[in-house]
Amino acid sequence: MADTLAGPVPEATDTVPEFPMSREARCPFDPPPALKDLQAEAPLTKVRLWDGSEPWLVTRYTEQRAILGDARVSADIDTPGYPNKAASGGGKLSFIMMDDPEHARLRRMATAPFAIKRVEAMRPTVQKIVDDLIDDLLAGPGPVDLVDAFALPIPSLVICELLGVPYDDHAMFQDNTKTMVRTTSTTEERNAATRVIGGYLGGLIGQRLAEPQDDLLSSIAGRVAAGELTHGQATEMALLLLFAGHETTANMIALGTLALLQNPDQLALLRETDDPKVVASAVEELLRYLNIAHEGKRRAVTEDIEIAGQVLKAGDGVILVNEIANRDPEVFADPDKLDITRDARRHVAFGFGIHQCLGQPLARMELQVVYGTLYKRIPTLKLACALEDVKFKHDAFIYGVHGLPVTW
Amino acid sequence: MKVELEADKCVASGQCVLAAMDVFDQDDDGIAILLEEKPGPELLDDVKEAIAVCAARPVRPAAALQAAAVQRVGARPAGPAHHV
Repeated sequence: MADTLAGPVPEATDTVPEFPMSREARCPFDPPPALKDLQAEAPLTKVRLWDGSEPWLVTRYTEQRAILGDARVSADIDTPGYPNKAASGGGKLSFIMMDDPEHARLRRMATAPFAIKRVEAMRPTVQKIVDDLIDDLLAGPGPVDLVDAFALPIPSLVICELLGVPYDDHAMFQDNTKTMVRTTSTTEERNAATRVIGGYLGGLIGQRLAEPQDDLLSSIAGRVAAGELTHGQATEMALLLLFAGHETTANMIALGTLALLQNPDQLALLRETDDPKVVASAVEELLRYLNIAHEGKRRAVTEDIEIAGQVLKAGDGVILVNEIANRDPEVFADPDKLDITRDARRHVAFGFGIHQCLGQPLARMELQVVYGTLYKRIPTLKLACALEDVKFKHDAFIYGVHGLPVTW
Repeated sequence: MKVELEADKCVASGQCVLAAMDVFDQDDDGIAILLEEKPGPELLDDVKEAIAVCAARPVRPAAALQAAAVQRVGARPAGPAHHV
């Protein structure tokens, strides 16, 4: 109870808002109303974090892209002023928390499998995975949890295939990933989960050093053999790719399906089209609309930056929340409307600048196959509970639903 | 129209290929390569889109196009979605 807490209480005159903010329970697809209010007021404002620090919050699309594309900000959590999400835990996630030139050197070791042509070559494999899982769904009785039976297996199978991780071990890495992204996990829990997956992947890299195969883990192991990476760096990189490869896309599949079920006119457009361009457009719009990476990109300023009438000083923290940039009415007309026919390609759901999502071509292709297949094959797909009973991931760094009961 | 590309800045997000497949491709590591230094006017919209979505800004237009492209960044999308 509040009245039993000792210590200072916020002063009544305090106007710096706390971050993160809560979503409106009745609008689970929309950003927190307080964030939208801040966006309407100014492109940059100060917010207060859990540790009392007061970084800048960048609220608008144009300023977010400018700062994410600026070399005077650092993505390294050890740079003074970096706004931490939590006390600690999980350590640095390889190159996404590094600056150039080391960031570029490491990132380029992992880019090859995500080139457009390589990803397109995987499309038939992904289509078969999706078709087989839908066969399994239709063979059994409803309702089922779409997360467990469909949304999570698809990207997990795909990233396992690409990396060369045995899918039979999926429960281990999926469960530990959940601990890593849960905002309420303790530092000890998060570190322990990271150690379990890291130990596992480190072992696989050791095996590939001895017996290389045709997969990304072998290619990373080859960098270790060549003296370009330590075994620890290789393990961190593999962990990042495995983690980012399944948790994100899984949430887009389940949350996207729920959003479409709540917007039947949009679902009908998707179900009735045979045009891959319409499906591709729907993927971009759902990425814009849903923004599962909702905790904001974090940066520290390394040299003063003048922008929008403000000066971001060296040592200031900056938070850039793509979910409000993608709802900026100056860029996207009627931004809170899900409209799969709009041109949403300039969204920043994958971030922007040198740290922009490495796996985005793969994510796009997976989502195109899923959204282009599921609702055609199961045209009567429907929610098997009330929307109020769906458990949203308010308690995770990656947004989505904990489960999605569906039937047909 | 003349397009320049600084490959050492490319982060291999593949966005330019999706936006303008006739102008850009990727090497074996996913790094952007220029197929057509002087694309024709029919490709202007695609190239503008590639410039707008380019993650790390290695894709650059010649001066005349730059002004137009900068004006387009952040502009409301006009008309129905078109994917290349």
